Parts: sequence; C-alpha cells; structure tokens
Amino acid sequence: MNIDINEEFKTNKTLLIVIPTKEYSETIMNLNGQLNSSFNRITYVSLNKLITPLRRSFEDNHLDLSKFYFVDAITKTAIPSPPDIPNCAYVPAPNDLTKLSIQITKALQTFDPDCIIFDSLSTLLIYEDNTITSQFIHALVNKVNAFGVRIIFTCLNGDKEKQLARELSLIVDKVIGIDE
Amino acid sequence: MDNITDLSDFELDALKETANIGTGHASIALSALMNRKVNINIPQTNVVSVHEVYSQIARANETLVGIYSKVKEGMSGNVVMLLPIDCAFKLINHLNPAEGGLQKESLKDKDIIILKKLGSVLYSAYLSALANFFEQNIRFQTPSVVSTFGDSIIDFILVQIGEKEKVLLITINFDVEGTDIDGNFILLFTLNSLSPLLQRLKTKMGMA
Repeated sequence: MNIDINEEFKTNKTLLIVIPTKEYSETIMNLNGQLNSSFNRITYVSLNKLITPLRRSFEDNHLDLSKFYFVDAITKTAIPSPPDIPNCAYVPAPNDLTKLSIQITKALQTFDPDCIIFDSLSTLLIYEDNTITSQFIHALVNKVNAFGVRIIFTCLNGDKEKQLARELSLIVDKVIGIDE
Repeated sequence: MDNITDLSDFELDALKETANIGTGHASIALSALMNRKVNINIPQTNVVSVHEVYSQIARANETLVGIYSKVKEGMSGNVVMLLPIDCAFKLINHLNPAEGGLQKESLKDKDIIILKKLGSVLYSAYLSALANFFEQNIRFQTPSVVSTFGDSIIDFILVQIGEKEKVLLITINFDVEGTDIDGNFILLFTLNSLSPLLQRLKTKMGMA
C-alpha cells in the first residue's frame, strides 16, 4: 500500500481505489490515517463494518474520532435500535440507496467535510447490479463536486468490481489499483 | 453469580454432545429442504475470549452471506450460518426453482426473505434439540441476513456480546452433496449463560 492521498488529491478530486481482499482492512486504515493527518473534517460512509468495532479500530489506530462524521448503513441490519453516537447517522440498510443519499447530503450540508471516504462499492454490488450502482455513484459524484468536496470510493478487486471500475473510470477522476 | 471463565471436561463433553445432536437436527432440516444429502463434519468446540473469535473463524477473506440470529431466551449468544456469496446464490436458486437457471448476481429482498426462512428452519431445529436436552425453553430472534467481507462478518457474530465475555464457540462445516454448496454453522454462547443449563444437567445426572 503506497498511495499518497495528498499527492493524488493535488490533481484529482474523485478517486476509486481497488484493493485486494486480503489487504482491505489494512489499506482502509492506512487511508483513514492519511486523511486524519491531512484534514479536519472527514465523512466516513460505512457499508461494511458495524459502528462500534469501526470506532474501536479508529481508536486503536490513534485516529481523532472528533474529525469523523459517520454515515452508517450497516449497523441497523444487526441492531434495529442502535445507540445514539455523536457524529453518526444511521441508514437502515446498505441497499436503501435513497436514505443513504439523503444522509450523505445531510452530512455535506451540516458537517461540511473536506473529504468523504465511501467504504465500499463492493457492498453495494452485493445488493445492486452494476447499472444501478453506477447510476448511484454518478449522482453522488455530481453532488460532492457541487459541494467542492473530495471523495474516495473503495472496492475489492473481484470480477464484478473490475467491470464496475471500467464503467466508473469515466465518472471518477482516477482509478487506482493496488497490487496483491 | 461468579463469572465462568472455563468449563470442566465433563461440561465441555456435554456441550459437544449437544452440539452434535443439534447439528444433526439442523442438517436433517437442511437436507429435507434441499432434497439432498447434507454432509457435516464433527463440530469444533472451543472456549475462547471474544478477541480470539476473529482468529478462529476462517473464510474472513471472502465475501460472505451471514444468516444470523440472537438467542434471546434460555441462553445468551448468536447463531450464524455463513455462506460464500456464490453458494448463497446457488442455495437460493435451489430453494426457489421458479428462478432456476437464472444466474444471480445480487441479493434482492425476496432472496433475503428466503434466507431468513432457511435460518428460521435450521435454528429452530438446532435449538429445539438443545432445549430438549437441557429441558429449557430456548428462543431466538427472527434471523437477519447480512453480506459483507473481511473480518467485519465476525463483528456480526459477536454483536451484543460483551467484550470481556468468554464464549463457547462451535463451528461446523457442511456441504450439500451433488452441489458445490458449502458453508459453516457458527454457534456462539456466553459461558455465563450456559451456567444454569449445565447446573441443571448435573442435577439431572445426580452430579450436583
């Protein structure tokens, strides 16, 4: 994992990072560490990890939780009434794209992030086909561009993702693949 | 009540036996649903800390579908069926032959309903065997279905289990003969919740 996010953001505002499964957790935490060092306000869209262990892993890696606003679209699938957590908005399920979009918009309007990290497109692809996922991402990229905010999408390097990455290469500024 | 941090050989043997019985019931239920023989291995039964669960469960590097349910009465824990996503799609096609032959690529709401029903049948079979063995009502919540990858699937297995709890972790591999469907049953019970059941068992056997 040798992506320099600051360097990438000098010339690109929207990135898609394709990550091998085995290196996924480590790479995501590395990205979060870089964002934590470089920015004061980061919105983390989580479709993959429950909020409590996610926050714990941030703490374990000495990230400043006060810099992060979480849009959590996975915890409610396990805990229908999750605890209220500061700087965290819940979405009922990762395939509830309307509510996901609403909560990201709210985060843009109220938290005013410097950057968004979207973890991950692979989870969206479990529930939606490439066409729906591409349309959602296209709309989201247009939205964050309108707010002047940077965004990082992540996904695994599976076959479905590779096809999606080809389609999204026309939408995002740069697709970065990480070698296994 | 004192916290239980380990089990005696007798207690562990008794729980292994219940795991065998329960797994047998669940595999018969799955076999009836699939109309095929279901092969299961001998359950792996270990007492571990919550943190050790992450290293005990293989397949964390695949995209998995988990059908999980919280045990809400009689004991405390979670039961989970884990399937690689391709196997989940094949299982859904097998259980819903109206769509047979169509290559599934995503998990839709109707698929989730099928998996929830499957979970209900299997967990009912498993837990009713335990309930009979311990002569104790055991109830579980309506199953939920989640699909994710990496070690986050383990977070679901551990949901609402205290960080400092010791747990009995039972893992069983299964495959459906004549198909390439395979997966794991994972049962995780807090040791403290097993205490009254084990006490009842000892009394029953004249050991208390």
